[in-house]
Amino acid sequence: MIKDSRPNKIGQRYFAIVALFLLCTPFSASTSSALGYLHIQANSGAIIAVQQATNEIKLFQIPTANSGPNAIISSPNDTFWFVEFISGKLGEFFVRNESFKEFPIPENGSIPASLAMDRNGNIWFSDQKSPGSVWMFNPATDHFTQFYTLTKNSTPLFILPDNQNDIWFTETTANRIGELTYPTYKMAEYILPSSNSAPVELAWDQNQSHLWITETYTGKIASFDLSSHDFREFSPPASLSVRYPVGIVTDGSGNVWESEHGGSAVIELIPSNSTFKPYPTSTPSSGNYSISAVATLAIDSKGFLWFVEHFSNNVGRLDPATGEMDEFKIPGSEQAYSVLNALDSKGNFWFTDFGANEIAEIPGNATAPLQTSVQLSQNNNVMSGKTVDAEIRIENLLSSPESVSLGTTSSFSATGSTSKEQILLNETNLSLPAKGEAFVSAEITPNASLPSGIYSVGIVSLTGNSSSVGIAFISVINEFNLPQWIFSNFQFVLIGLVVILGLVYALLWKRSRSLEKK
Amino acid sequence: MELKSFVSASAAVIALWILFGRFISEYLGAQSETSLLKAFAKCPGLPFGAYSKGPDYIDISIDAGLAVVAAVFIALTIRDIRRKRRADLAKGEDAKDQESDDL
Repeated sequence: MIKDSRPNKIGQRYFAIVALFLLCTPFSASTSSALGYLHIQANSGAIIAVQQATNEIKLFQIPTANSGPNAIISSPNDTFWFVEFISGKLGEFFVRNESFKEFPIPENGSIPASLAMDRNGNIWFSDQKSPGSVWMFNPATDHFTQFYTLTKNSTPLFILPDNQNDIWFTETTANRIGELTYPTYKMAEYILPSSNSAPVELAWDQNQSHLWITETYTGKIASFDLSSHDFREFSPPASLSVRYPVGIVTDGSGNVWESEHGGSAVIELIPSNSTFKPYPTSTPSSGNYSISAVATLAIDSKGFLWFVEHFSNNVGRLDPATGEMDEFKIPGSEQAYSVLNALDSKGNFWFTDFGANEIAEIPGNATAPLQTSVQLSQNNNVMSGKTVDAEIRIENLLSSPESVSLGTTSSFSATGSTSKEQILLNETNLSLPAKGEAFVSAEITPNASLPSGIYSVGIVSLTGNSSSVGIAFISVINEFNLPQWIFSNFQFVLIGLVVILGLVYALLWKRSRSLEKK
Repeated sequence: MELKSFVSASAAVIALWILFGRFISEYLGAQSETSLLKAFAKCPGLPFGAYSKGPDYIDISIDAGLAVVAAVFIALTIRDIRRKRRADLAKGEDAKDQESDDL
């Protein structure tokens, strides 16, 4: 896929404003760095500072030490609510003055896991303290109301209100989803068809007629029909290993997106034809983990998917239209984690950092310094074991030269780790001039043992604290090859041999019996 | 070794070999899942570590079946070898008796 160089639209707007100003006023100008503020000095001496796009991640320390912030939602008037998993409190954050207010949950040992806001402004949160409950908090009266789940030891997690103010939630260890019907809040529970599926998170379809559910233990996505109360499950194909999916959202086209917490991908499900498409993230280059562990998902008004990579400690943003992913390193050494992230009214992305005891924000218009795109010489019906050539274009958007290191990622393996035999780059370190581009070639060889299906390959361009992943899809065909089949299914070939030997034994025994009788 | 014993012994050895390979593979897989779940213990709120996925009943059934098959073939091999030995001993005694009669 070739992506043409696109001017930074925000930069264009600012330069247009500046150009208009300069035409009207005699001036002398000076500028600062490409990311930050653009300073213009008029002859009058006035300094005008125009904020350009910034990637700065802002961190806000929570007052209670080691509180365990686990999930965050946005609410009107530039306010955020979050749960404190360890300290058992609800927290409120006011952006205006960057201040906090905390509300202790009136039960000792409460374990609030996630939260939501209903149409009346009440805050609902799950409590994983045994036997499991869901709470409602009224911010106007500071009153808490508790609802125990019908099934004991249910470990409720995700909460999602509907347009009728009914409250839906997952019971992860009870293999159920629960419903509290407004206004009586009578509870009902619905059992998922696969046993031990561990339903985790929920998302609405476009008209709230179906709930989409991630089954973290089975790797499936379930759809629940609100009228018939029937479930339908979507299983990934043999070509795609989906390990411990957690986050789930739907887009404007009705497609479903999930985050793979046991791997390194954001995965799209197209329900109309049950197609799964993986978008791989980068994988950690060092440390204890081989996966990025994508946590939850949010989708903004432009259709961009936002997520936090738990083990890689990155914020990721995926543009499905171009297949390009940007990743921004989160400051600090603790791995950022939450079960729910949020977008504010301006499109900025908010998340909790459990380990660092912070809530954090990254601007919605954050730009990575690089753009990476991948063009394959062939992407349809590629025979497994055969090599396909690829051309990778890396563009430097900055006004200064950049040193770039290249890496690979793919859905060829369950973790995203990709060997040089699978993707071979002809260069791995580049120096890009300011506003310049470079081209790198690669050879992509899907393993001969891969089943037929859609796979993705990703080239990661890393510089400083951010990276850009260019993703392309490749349709692999695995034609039947007897030696390869035998190698892949060797134990079943041997089992077949045991069966044959058993039959031979039986014949020999029968023969010896008839000889004895004679 | 007569043919029957050879066939049953071969079947037993192959069944044991498959069983051994499956145990190694399942053990390594379980170790990998355990270390992944231990890492996920850092994921508060998610069920990892709260309970396991549960056993894979298909794998357990295949392992049990292989163990039974191996045991049956081992028993058949031992039985056939013993019968052969008894038959050989009986033949040897008959031959001695025949010899002494001739003498």
